Amino acid sequence: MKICGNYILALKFSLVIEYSEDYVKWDVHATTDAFTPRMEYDDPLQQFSESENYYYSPYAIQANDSTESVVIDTPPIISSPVPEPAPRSVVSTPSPVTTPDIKSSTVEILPMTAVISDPQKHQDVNPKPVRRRYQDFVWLHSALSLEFTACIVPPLPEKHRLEYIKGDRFSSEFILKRQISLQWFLDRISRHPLLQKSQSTRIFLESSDFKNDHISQTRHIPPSASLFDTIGDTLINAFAKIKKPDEKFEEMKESITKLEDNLNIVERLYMRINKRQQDLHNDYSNFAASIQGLSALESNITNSLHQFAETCKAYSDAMKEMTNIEEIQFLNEIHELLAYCNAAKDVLRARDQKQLDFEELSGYLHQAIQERERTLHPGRSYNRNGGLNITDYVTDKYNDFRGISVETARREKLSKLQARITELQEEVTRTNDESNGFSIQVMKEFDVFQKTKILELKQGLLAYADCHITFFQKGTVIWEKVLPVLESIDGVNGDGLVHA
Amino acid sequence: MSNRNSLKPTCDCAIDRALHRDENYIFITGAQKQSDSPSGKSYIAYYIRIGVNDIETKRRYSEFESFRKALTLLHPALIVPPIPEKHSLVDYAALQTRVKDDLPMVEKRKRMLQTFLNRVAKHPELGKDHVFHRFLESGGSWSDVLHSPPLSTLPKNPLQMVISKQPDVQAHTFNAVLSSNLIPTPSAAYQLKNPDPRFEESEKFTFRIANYMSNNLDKSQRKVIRRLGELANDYAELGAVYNGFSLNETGAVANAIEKVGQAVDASYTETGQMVTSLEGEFAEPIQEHAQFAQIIKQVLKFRHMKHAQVEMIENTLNNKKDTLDNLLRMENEAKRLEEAMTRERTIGANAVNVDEINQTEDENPYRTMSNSSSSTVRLDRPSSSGNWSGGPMKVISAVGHTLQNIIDVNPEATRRNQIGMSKDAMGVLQEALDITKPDLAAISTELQADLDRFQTEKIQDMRDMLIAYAKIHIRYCQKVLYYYSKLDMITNILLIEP
Repeated sequence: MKICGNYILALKFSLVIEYSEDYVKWDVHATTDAFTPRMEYDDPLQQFSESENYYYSPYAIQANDSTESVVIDTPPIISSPVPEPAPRSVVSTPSPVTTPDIKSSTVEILPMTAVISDPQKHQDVNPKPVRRRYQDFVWLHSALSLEFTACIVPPLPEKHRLEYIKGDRFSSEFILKRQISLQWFLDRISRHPLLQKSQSTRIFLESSDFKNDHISQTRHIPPSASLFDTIGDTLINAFAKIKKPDEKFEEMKESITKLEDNLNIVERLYMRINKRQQDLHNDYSNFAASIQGLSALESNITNSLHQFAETCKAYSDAMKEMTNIEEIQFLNEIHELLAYCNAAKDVLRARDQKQLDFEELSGYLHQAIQERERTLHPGRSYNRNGGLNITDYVTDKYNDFRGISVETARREKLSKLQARITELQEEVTRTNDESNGFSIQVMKEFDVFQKTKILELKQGLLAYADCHITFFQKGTVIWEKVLPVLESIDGVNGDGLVHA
Repeated sequence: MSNRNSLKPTCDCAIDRALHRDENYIFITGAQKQSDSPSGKSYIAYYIRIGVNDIETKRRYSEFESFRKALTLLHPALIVPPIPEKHSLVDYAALQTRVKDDLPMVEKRKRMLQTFLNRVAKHPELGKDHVFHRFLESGGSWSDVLHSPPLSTLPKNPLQMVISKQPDVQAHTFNAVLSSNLIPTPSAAYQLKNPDPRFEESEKFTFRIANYMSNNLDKSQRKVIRRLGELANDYAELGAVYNGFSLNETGAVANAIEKVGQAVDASYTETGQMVTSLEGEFAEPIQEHAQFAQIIKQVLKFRHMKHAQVEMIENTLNNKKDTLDNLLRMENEAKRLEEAMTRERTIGANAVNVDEINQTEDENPYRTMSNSSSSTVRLDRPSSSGNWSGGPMKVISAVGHTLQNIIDVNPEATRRNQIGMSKDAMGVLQEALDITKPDLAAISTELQADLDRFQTEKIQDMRDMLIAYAKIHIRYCQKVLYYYSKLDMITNILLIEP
C-alpha cells in the first residue's frame, strides 16, 4: 500500500492530495480490504465484536440489535477473555498472532507483514478512492472518541498552525507535513482492534455520500456519551484525587511520562542539530564557492580546484538531503509519538475520573446509610469519633417545639433516606461496573499503546539509520571520486590536464 | 633539498652539515613553560631537535619573531616563510587568556613553528645562512647573535644595502656609498618610468590573490571547521540522552535505542577527530599561504623600490652631468674671454672683431650679458633647469643677478667650487649606479627564481592540502557508516521479532 507522494510506507490507507478552491481534500482509499463490519452481519467476526462490547457496556454501540441488554447486574470484573464464543477465546484482542479465522484483521494490525487476506472473503473488493477534507478527519476523531471513550484514539495534527496566520495554508511543505500526520492517524486506527471496526471508520473510508452518512452516524451515538459530560466531570473533579489509586495505572502513567520526557529532550536536541546541520550545509557551499574563485586565480591547477569545489558542493547537497529526510521522517515521528502519549494520558485520566465517580458515590451512599442508622437508633453513636450528633438533637427539639410528632418526622425521614439509599446503591453499582469495565479496557488499550510505541520507535530508528547510511555512503563515494584527480597534480606542471 | 647553486658558499658548520648533507628534518619536540629566575615571568620554550641527533636547543616565540625579522632584513629580496601570528589585541580581549595558558594555541604554534623551520631549511639561500644555523645551535644565546655581525651591521633601510655578490663590495651590510645623502630614496608612490613587465604582472596577481585568500578563502574554511566543532558537541549531548532513554525501556527496543546512542557517540568522536585533523592539515596551511601572499607582496615591493632607486640615481646622475656640462662650458667661455681680453690689450692693432666674438657668443644660450671688461664679466649662474622665460622671471633673475653681483665677490671661485662639487657628486652617483644596477639585475633574477620555486612549492602544498581534506572526509564517512550499519542491522532484526 502506498501514499501517493514521495514516501512509501506500507500502510493500509493511501492518501492523495487534491487541491480545491477553499479547502484541501484528501483522497482516501483502502487499498487492501478494509475490515469494517457491515450492518448486515455477514462478517463472521461480528459475534466477536459483540463480545467486546460486553465489557464496556454502555459505551460500545455497534447498532447491532442483537446485542444483549446493556446493563449488567453483577460485578463484571472478568479479567479472563471472552466467555461467550468459546472457540474464539484465544483472540480477545486482535493481536499480531495470526489465527486463520481472523486473518483479515491481522493484516491491518501488522501492515508490515505481507499477509494479504483472501479477497473472496469480502464483498467490498474494489476500494474506491474517496476524498476527505481535514474537517472530515476531525469528525472521525470526535466520533471515535465519543464511541470509544476508553480507547486511546490517535490524535490529529494540530488545527491552528502558524501557517494559518501567515496565510500559507497551501504551501507544499505544510501540506506534506499534514499528509504525513494524517497518514499516521489512519495507520494507528487501522492497527487498533476496535477502532478499525467502527462504523464511523467504515463510513469515513468508504462512503460516497459522506455528507449525509456521517450525520446519520452521529445520531447513533448514545446521548449519555456526550462531550459535555466528559468536560463537566473533568471540571468538577479537577482537584479531587482518587482515594485508592491502583498501582497498575500509576505505573502506566509513570512509564508514559518517562517516555514523554525522553522524547521531549530528543525532540529539542534534534531541532537544534537540524538547524546546525543546515548551517553546516551553507558553510560547505560557501567554501565550495571560495575554492571555485581560487580556481580562477590559480591558473596552474584550475581544473583540479574546480573539481574539488564541485565535490564540496555535492557533499553539502547530500548533507542537506539527509537533514531534510531526517526532519520529515524522524523528527516527525517523535512529534507523533508525543501526541499519542498525550492522548494515552487523557484516557488514563478519564479512567481515574470513573474511579473517582465510583468512590464519591460510595461515599455518599455510606453517609446516607449512616444517617439512616442514626435515625433508627437515636442516641447511639455511629460516628467514628463517638461524638454527639448535635444536628439531630437540635432538630428533634425543634420539632418538639413546633409540635410535630418526633415519631412521624422520624418515619418520614427514614423513608426518604431509604429511597435515597436504594437510588445510590444502584448508582454505585453502575459506576462500579463502569469504572471496572473502563479499567479493563484501558489495560488492553495500554497494551495496544505499548505495541504501537515499539513499532513506531522501530520505524523511526530505521528511518534514522537509513538516511544516515545513505548519506555516509554517498559521502565516501563523492570524496573518493575526486582523490585521483588531486593525486595527479604535479608540482611543476600543475594539473597536467588540458584546461577544460 | 636544492640543487640550485647558491651564490654564497656554505659555512660548513655542524648544523649545516646536519641539515643539508644528511637531509634531516627539524622537529619541535616539546613546549614547556619556563621562567627566567630573576623576573619570575614565565614563557613557553619550544624545544628544537634536528633529526635524531642530540643537537637540541630551545627558543621562545619572541626569539622566533626576532629571527624571522633578521632574515627579512638580511634578505629583503627573498621569500621568507611566515611564522604563526602573534595574539592580536582582539584575541586577548575575546579570550582573556595569554597564549601560554591556552593549550590548543600552544599546540598550533608548535606545529606551525616546526613547519617554518623546515621551510627555511629547504630554501636554497636561506637554508645556508649561518644566522639560521646559529639560531639552531644548542646553547647559543640569541641576543649574542643579534649583537654580532652580520646582524649588527645591517642598515635600517634595506635599500642602503648591497645584496648580490659583487667584487670589492661586501654584501648584506651597511654600504657607505649607498647611505650617502646624495643617494635619493624613492617614495612609495614612485612610478617606474621603465617598469619590468614580468614583475608588473606578478605584482597585480599577488595583490589580488593576497586579498582573496585572507578575506574569502580563509574565512569560509574556518567557518566550516568551527561549525563542525559545534555539531560535535551537540552529538555528545544527544548520545547521552539516548543512553538515558534506553535505560527507561526494556527488551529489544532498549537495545535498538542503545545502538542509536552508540552511533551518535561515534558521530561525536569522529566529528571531533575530523575537526582536529582539518585544523592541522588544511586550515593551518591555508593560513600560511595567506601569509605567504602578503610576504610576496612585500618582496615585490622591495624590488620595485630598488628599481625605483636605480632609476632615480640615473636621473640624478644625468642631471648632475648636465649641470657639470653647463658649468664647464661657462668656465671655458670665461677662459676664452679672458684670453681674448688679454690678447686685445697686447695686440692693439689686431682688431678682433668683437662683434664676431659676440656673435658666436650669441649662440650660447646661456649668454646673458657680455661685458668687455674681463674682470666684470659676469655670468649668470647657469640655471640647470633651462631658460626661464616670462616677465616675472626676468625680473627675479635680474634681481638675483644684482644680488649675486653684490654678494658674490668671486664668481669664478664659486664656479670652480661648484664644478668640483658636481664632479664629486657625479663620482659618488656613478659608483652607486655601478653597484645598484647589477644588484638590481641580480635581485630580479633571484626573485624570479624564488617566485618560480615558491610556485612549485605552493602547488605541492595545495595538492597535499586538498588530498588531506578529501581523505579526512572519507575516513569520517567510513567510520560513522560502520556504526550506523550496525544500528540498521539491529533495528531490522527487531522488526522481525514481535
